[in-house]
Amino acid sequence: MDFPFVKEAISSLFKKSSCDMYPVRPSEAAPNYRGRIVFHPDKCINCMMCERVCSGSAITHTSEQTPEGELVTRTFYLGSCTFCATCMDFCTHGAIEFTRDYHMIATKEEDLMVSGTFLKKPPVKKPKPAAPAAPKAEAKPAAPAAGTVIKPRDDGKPVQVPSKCVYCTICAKKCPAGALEVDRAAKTWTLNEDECVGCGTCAEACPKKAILMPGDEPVTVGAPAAPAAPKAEAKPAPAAVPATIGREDGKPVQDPDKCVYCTICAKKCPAGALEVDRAAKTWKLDEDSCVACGTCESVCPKKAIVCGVQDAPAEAPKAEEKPAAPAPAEAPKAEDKPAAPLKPRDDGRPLQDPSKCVYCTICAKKCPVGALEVDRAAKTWKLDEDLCIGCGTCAASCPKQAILY
Amino acid sequence: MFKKLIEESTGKSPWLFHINAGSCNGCDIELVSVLTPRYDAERLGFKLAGTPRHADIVVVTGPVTQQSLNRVLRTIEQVPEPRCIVTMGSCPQSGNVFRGSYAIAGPLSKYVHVDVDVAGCTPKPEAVIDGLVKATEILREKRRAMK
Repeated sequence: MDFPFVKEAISSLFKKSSCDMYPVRPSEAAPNYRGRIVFHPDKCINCMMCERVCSGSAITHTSEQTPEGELVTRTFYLGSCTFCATCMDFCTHGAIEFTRDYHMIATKEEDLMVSGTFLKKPPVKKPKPAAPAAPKAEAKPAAPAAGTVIKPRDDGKPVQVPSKCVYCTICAKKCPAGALEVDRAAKTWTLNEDECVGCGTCAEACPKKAILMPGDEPVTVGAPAAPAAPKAEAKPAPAAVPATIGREDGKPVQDPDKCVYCTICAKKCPAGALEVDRAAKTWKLDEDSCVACGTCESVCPKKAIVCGVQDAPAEAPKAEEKPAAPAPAEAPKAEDKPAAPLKPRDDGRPLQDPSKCVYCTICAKKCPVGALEVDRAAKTWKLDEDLCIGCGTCAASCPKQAILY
Repeated sequence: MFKKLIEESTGKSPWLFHINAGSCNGCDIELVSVLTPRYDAERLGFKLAGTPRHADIVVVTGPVTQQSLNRVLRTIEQVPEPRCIVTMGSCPQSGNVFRGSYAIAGPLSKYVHVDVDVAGCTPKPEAVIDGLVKATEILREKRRAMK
């Protein structure tokens, strides 16, 4: 008879217990354990984000109007909490904290309530109406009143800097409380004082840094008398002559020497402010629609658009050399065949190297304006001279380097 | 004399009965881990009973669904007085994420008096042991009051 377990049983008698001996020996929760909630009412701004994201509806609040402001009591009912910490993640001010305390034993419901009370002061309606109301009306007809200083408000709510604002509506979309109303067409930026919780999300979202929050530097509006002048000159005169190019109001300026009138800028303009005619070679900006977002500058394949004031260092001389190019642009159309001995064309359009080309049609597919027609079977490569904007995409995409550009 | 001995020993060794009232099984698994060697609540006298008629403490997990409500109440009624009802996890206390669902009849406190709430989702086994110890104290007081 074999008793294998006898040996095991006897040796186990002298082993240490595998039990945790909990009440005797206290145990601590893991480092990132999410236990009892601690609420810091002094940090809370009452944006209600936590209440909205709570899956267990464990967060509630009561408010009471007092002469000093709104007295808000926020309550976390741990008996309905899943300890998912979503409220903590969404809290922009770190007012919610999860501790490692897991001893949540209660005999009464109140034992599981964590709450905090804070006073929400009413908005101080001082700096805001003074600042945006005036420049808003004046912004379009004349340059904003020089020397107006826009200061952040002391009640934690945002202030718009009308001279910087492009009315892109991003702030309104990002506002968790839905307190902002921005009309791009009417160029209005309206803050609902009661809804606003002063979370600062709008200021963070603003691509133009046109929203001031407490702690930001005051902004001096005005001085740029320039916007009015270049506005008129921008179209007729080439802008590349002075040391700096572009307009101070951030709206685009076209460089007629570089522009190939491909209409990409007009297509991409979110405000529909650009009108480009390829045949007539015109580039028109609708000053009122333009929001100075800079999209046209970024999409232009020829870097022919400048938004905002920029130095024109190396570009200036180039622009002076080039003017010869646009003029013969029409002429080479007829005489580009003789230039075939595989020299890149001087009008900026692509040239096929038949010895290298495999007629894979990639260039035709990549051409943004559909100016190339490649037939693999017939081994033909045709360029529509009128459509081609000379962007060079075909040359860049050719796997055989068969396009000279 | 025997009566006194029995009373002493039952006070030190309350038996548990576990009811799953539509739980997601998270709390059920934790309760099992409380009773198994790692946390070993049996060394404190707790023992899982096979029938509610032998039990002193009822541990309820789950948000009390419409389907389970009647069965939960019938089971609790079978537990002899003095009994102690412990809710484990957030679900029986409030419905937790299932709150407001058409299928939920809870919270349990709408139907019976709940003695101890162990909050958490799920509670740590240590917290469950704390809750059970608390339930034992309540049980002892109830027993004294019945005399």
